[in-house]
Amino acid sequence: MPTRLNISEQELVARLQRNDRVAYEHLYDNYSTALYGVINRVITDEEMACDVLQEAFVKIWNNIHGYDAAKGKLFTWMLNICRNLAIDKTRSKDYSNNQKNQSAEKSVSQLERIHTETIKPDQIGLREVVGQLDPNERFLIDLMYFKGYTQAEIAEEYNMPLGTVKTRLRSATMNLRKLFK
Amino acid sequence: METREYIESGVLELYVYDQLSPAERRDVEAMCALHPDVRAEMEAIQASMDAYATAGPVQPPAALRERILSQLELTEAPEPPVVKMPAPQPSYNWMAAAAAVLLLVSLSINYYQYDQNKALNGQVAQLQTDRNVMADNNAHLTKQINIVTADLAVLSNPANVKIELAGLPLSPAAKALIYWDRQRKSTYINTTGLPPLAEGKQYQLWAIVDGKPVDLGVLPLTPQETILAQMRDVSEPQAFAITIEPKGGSAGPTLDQMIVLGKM
Repeated sequence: MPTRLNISEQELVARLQRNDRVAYEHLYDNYSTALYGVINRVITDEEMACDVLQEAFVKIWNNIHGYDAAKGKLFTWMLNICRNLAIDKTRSKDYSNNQKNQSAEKSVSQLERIHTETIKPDQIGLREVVGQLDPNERFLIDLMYFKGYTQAEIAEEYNMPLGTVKTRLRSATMNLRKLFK
Repeated sequence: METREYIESGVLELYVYDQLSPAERRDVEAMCALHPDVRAEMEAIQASMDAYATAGPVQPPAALRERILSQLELTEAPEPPVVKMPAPQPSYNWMAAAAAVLLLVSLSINYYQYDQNKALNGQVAQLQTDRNVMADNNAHLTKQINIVTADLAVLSNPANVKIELAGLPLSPAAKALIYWDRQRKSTYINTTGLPPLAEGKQYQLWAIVDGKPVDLGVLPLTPQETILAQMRDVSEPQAFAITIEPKGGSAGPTLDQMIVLGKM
């Protein structure tokens, strides 16, 4: 039976800080699919993705006292932990050895194709959302948000003026907001 | 600070996309704490990004749940203690009824207090946020008052002579105001009436003493928080003038670049 607590976020945080088992079960049962989905947007290897989710929960447990509700929602905080751990993983040695055969050339269209193919069959909602976004804009968001690129790195790697990166990013964010209102 | 301008600068997006340095992140967080409209905008961007990021949930393998939970050192929540009650005696029925009524009263009081407590917790958090915002506003206002007080001290000094510098053919609409303290010989200037300068240029103030120009210093390049800027002291000035000079100023005035002039 999945655990579901009917309590405010404030109360949940207080219970997490007390190492309350039920609170952590609630956290896992209600957020692990969303968080694991995010990790899967960065890493496709199942074993690695599982490791990242585990590391993320250990980190959440270790750092829950440092969570500051004034800076954002608990879920955003957890999501960023997962995303950053996953990005770190893609930069580790193991990962690059794994992916070596893929990195021969790095054209926009190729990365684009790889990215679209990494959507798993059960991520139907994602496929729909992705279809409604301009491919160039989505590509830019994904490079930054899921691959950890800086604007300058994108400009350099894809031979785009930095100004174009910035304008496109802004319009991409506007469109995202329209889509997820 | 114009919050609309701040929002349109795109810095909030960069915060959400993790593109800022730790110092820049702190600035954004401070702006959010200070301005509810900036905070609302940030929350909207963050919410859409969260929604995009989680648009494709994936069920992790079932075994992962126990693997992860066993990694954390968790404590079992204490079970509510079960108190065994002796079986009620028939003759004590009225006592049981009274106890039940008392329990009911007590429970509803508990519930009421719990509800109140929850509401109060929310209010405390809100008040803390409000207090932080007010403390920030207060610090800002104190700074402004200090600046205005300093300006006012100069303006209300009876020893001050006010000299209006009027525009010359170079820029007839330009003007500036000098307050010269005839006792302390100090000079203050208000330059809000001067046009903006081209890159690499700077205004320089001169006093005419015995028919000769005396350098009173260059005007600050960036807009100041004070209305009045203090320049060098001068005794017995006959006139004041401002010229446009290369950045950093010149040893003598470039006469054809004189923009305003005012005689005592």
